[in-house]
Order: sequence, then C-alpha cells, then structure tokens
Amino acid sequence: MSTETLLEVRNLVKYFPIKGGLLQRTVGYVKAVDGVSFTVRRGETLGLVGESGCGKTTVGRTILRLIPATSGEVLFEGRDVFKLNAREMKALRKDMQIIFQDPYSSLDPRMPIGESVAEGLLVHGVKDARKRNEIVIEMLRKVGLEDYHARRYPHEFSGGQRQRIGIARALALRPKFIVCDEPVSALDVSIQSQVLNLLKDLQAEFGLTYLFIAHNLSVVEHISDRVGVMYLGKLVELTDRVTLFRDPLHPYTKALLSAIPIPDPTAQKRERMILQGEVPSPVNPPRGCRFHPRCPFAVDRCKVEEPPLEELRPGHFAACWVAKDEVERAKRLESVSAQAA
Amino acid sequence: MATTSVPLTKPTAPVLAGARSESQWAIVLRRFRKHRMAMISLGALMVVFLASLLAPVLAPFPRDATGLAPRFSPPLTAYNGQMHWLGTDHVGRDFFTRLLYAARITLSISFFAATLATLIGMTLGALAGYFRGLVDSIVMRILEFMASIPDFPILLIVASILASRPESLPIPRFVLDAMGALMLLSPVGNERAQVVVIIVVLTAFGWISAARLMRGMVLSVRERDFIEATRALGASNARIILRHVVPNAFPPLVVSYTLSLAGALTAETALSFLGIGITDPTPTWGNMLQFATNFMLTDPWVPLIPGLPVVIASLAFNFIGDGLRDALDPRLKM
Repeated sequence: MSTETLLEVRNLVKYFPIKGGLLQRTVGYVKAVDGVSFTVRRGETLGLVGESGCGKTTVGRTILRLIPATSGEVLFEGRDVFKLNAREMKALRKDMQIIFQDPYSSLDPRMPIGESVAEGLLVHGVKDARKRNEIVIEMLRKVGLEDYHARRYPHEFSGGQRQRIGIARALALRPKFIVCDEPVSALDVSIQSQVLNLLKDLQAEFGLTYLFIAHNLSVVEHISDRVGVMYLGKLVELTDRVTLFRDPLHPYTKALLSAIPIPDPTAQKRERMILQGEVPSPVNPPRGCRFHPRCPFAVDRCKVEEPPLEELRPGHFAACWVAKDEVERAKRLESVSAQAA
Repeated sequence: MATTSVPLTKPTAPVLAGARSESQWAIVLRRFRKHRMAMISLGALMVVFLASLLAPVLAPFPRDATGLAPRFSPPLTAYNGQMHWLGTDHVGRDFFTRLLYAARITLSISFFAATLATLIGMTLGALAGYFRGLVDSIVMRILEFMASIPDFPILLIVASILASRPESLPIPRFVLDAMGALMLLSPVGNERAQVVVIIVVLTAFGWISAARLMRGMVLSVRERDFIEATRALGASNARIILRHVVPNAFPPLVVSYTLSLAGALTAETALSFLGIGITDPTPTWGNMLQFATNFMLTDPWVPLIPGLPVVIASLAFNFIGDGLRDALDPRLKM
C-alpha cells in the first residue's frame, strides 16, 4: 500500500432541508454530515463505522455526487469532484463505483443480470455487444458466478449471489475506488465472510481502494486498513485498525468496542461501557461536543466548545478534549521521566 | 480468488442446463393463462375484434342500405332470398351488418382514446414523478384542476359543441384519411371529423388516472437502489427513465390500460346514446342503442342487439384487467 492520497474529503457538509407547513417552506435541517474531513490512500480500505443515522451512508453518496453536497470539497486524484461538469463527471464515474447494502433493491428486477452488469459498459461507449458480453462473463467469473447466470433475472438468485452481481456491476467499469455501503449487513453471517474475502481478493487483483461503510465492528476489523468512527454527522476518531481496536482514544469508540460480543461462551465478560440515553436528533445537535450528553468523562469544556479532529498521536486522529488532555499529560510525564533518566 | 473458491452453484450440465430463464413477462403470461374468466374474455374479444376486422367481408349488405326488408324484422328473417341474421332496424337496415361496422368504429375509438390517454398520462406522470420540483407542480395542478371538475357533464358539453361543428377543431388531413380508412367511413360529410373529435375529447379526460398512477409508481421506484446504481454508472436521465423506471412502473399501468379501454368504450357508447357523439347514419353501438330504445315497448328484443355487445365487451375488458392484476401481483401465489 502506498501513502499516495487517492481521495481527499475536506469539510464535507450535507444538510437535508425539512419542509413543513402549508407552503412547504424549509423549517429546519437534518444535519446528516456536518464537517467531515479525511483522506483515503491508494490501495487501502478505509472503514467508516457508526450507528444508524450517524451520516456514514450520506458521506459515501455525496462523495459520488449521488446526492448533492451542501458544502465542502472532495478531491479525487487532485480534482474537485463537485466542480466537474456533466461530461467530466460521467467520465469520472468509471473510476468511482458503489456497492449497496440491500441486494434485493440494488438490482433491476426486470433486467437479466448480464444486462445490469453490461449497462455501465454500454453507457461508457462499449458499443460492441460481443465485447460487452466477454467482459460480463469475465466479471461474473471473477465474483464466483457462472456464465449462464447472465441471462437470469435477479429473483432467481440468493442474497449473497445478488451481492456478488452488484460487485460485478461495479467492477465492470474497472474503477479505482469503490464505496462499499454496508455490503454485507443484509447477508447471513455464513455468507458475509465469503463476500468480504471476495472483496479482499478483488482489491488485491485490481488494486482497488475501498471506502467501507459498516456498523459491524468485527467486519470492519476484518477488512479495513484504517478506520474512521462517526457520531452524529462528525468524524470523532480516525486511525489504523490495530491502534483503534487496541488503544482507542475517543470515549465513543471505547463504548462501541466494549459492545462487540466475544464469540466464546467460556471467555470472561469484558467490562461493558454502557452509554446512557439516545443519540440526539441531528436536526438539533447538542452544543459543544456532540457526544457530551452521553459521555461519562465529559467535563465543562465539552459542553461549550466543540473539539476539532486533531492528530493527537502520529497517525491517530481524535476529536475529544479529555483524550487530548490525557495524551498531553502522558507526553509530559514521558518527557519528565526521560529527563530524570 | 484464493479464499473464495466456494462455488455458489455447481452447474451439472454446463451452460445449457437452465440457460433458458423465465423472464418476468413469461411468468405473468403463465399466471394469466390460469385465470379462466380472463381467458374466456380474451377469446370473446378476439372474436369481436376479428369480426369487426372482417366487416366488409362478413357483412351481407352495404352498411347504410335501406329498404331491404320491413322495419323491425325479427332475427333470422329471410327476405328476397337473403338472410337477415339479426333482423332489421327502424328504417329497415340490416342489424348484423351495422353491428359489424359499429364494432369496428366503437372498438377503434376506445382503442385510440385509451391508448393516447395512457401514453400521455404515463409520460406526464413519469416526468412529474422523476423530476419532481416545478414539472411536478405544474402537472399536478393541471391534473387536480381536471380531476376536481365533474367530467361527464363537461364531456357532454364539449362533445356536443365539437361534434356538431367538428370543423372548429383543426384536424390534419392525414389523420382524417387514416381514421376514415380504418373505420370504413365515407369521406363526404363530417363522419370522419366526428370520430376524431370524440377520440380527442375522451383522451383529454382520460389521461388523468394514468398520470396519477404513473407518478405514484415512479415516486416509489425512483427511490430504489438500482436507480442510484445506474446513476452511479453514469447513465443519463433518459436512459434511467426508459430502461429502469418505466419498466418497473409498468404492471399497474397495464391493468389501468385495459380498464380504460372499457371506460372509453362505455363513454363513447354513452355519448352516442345521448345523441351528442357520433350520429346516424354512422353506426356505433351507442347510437344504435339509442334508436332501439325508442321502440323498446313494442319490440323488446331490439335494444338487446346493440346492447349485448356493449355489455360483453366492457365486461371482457374488465375481466382481462382483473386477470392481469392477479398475474402481475407477485405476492399472489397461483
């Protein structure tokens, strides 16, 4: 994996207007994504976790311009995706694809799956039907399906097979970057690992870069190189997988990790960190740190001042006043003891 | 592909086995065939349709010929060696002959009115539902305006004005010629213009339900992931609408189309019956019925002759619509 940046998201904001009243005036906004910044390196898998409604799916869709962003920038290979005109955008779509969560709604039920896989090729000017057919069959084989499946309709496949078809469709254009929007959440556990391993194999074979959105931490741990944690439209922590799972800084991440079940009935129960209350509404998020009403460590500063996402340790970003203090105290202690020694 | 060597299905005989896959329409056809009333109706309509198509061949007399046999001869009257299968009407014209020509005219009018109305409704509904915003507002306001006025009285007024003076509607010559040829109408007089006017009027009031249905379907289809996936592939709006939205919104439209065929048929009949649609001597089931009712008390069998085809045809369209609805509903296991 190189350290070259493929995709950079800068201060991405997406507000959905709430229309109300007789005249359908905008009465408020759902602040689905509220200032998210991160980079994705070429060839890596960046996991994005968070609970339902935290805005992780919206991040994926705005990056691909499937929904218009409110503000912010997305740089793909240095070019601002939001500033491209229709023709440039169409060309870029070859490089950026998406895999959906629900395999039952992501395929057109009235189209044989071969046509669905071929559609991108047709759109991008592969006029020769034989050539298209060749690529379709190649892609189907790559994802573990058979040639003759091409003529079948989606309802003849299982959920896992359909997800493979969705992957083949995204892959047919030979993209560089794929947003995987909870690609295994709707699948049986027994199928999940198959699909995850398929994604990994394809990544190695085609040099793909993934933005892997999920709410299942075990899945994210399995597939990601780095992981970002989102809470209520904000990125609260971002670091490499090993550090995140071993040594998280943000209290929200700690709470999430403590909730992962251990698949071993004889193992000791780990200490659970149970969060109080509900996720606040993204229409009216709390002032200060968005997590403070539920945070067991919150101090006064958290209630008034919003913590920025800062690199507290090398390569380890977190947005938390308490964690920042702790890290700095540890650093001071270290330097004191170093001096003493 | 090292770790994913788990094949999903082992093809026993490669490629050929299961190569033919049943398309969704094939499934619909199979299910439709199990609907007995719908199949009977389809058969009945085919007979009526073929008979009307072969009207010039089957009809034993010229359409408007009078003085053949005494007026109101009962069915199966032979006169001068020629059989009047269904008897004669109030001026002695052969009922069977006129019924065949009338079928051709009535069915053509309902076909064109229902088809045009459905196509216009589908287009407007699809655009409104897909693009939302301003297009949606405009289409929906027109639709609500049309829907809020009681349509039959307006239909009566508009039809009576236009049908009595068809020249007030500029109709291109080729349309008149085509309709005239199709319905075997005489080029003199305003027979042809009347027919076109009725089609226009019925279309103008018929598109509303199709548009509303289409818009609703499109609103639900456009939110599904495969539309988003197609957009992510870089497909144009036109492609998304024509290749994905419309085919998926189609099933209920098919049902509504068959029902609107029945609707147009009865509306045309009603207009002609009230004397403001197509007027004598051009035969339609409606105006034949109108004259027949005048003599109902003395010759009660007379209204049945034009009346029964109306009942049979509109029932048949409704049954076919019913059958299609059942066949198209995937939740119904048959």
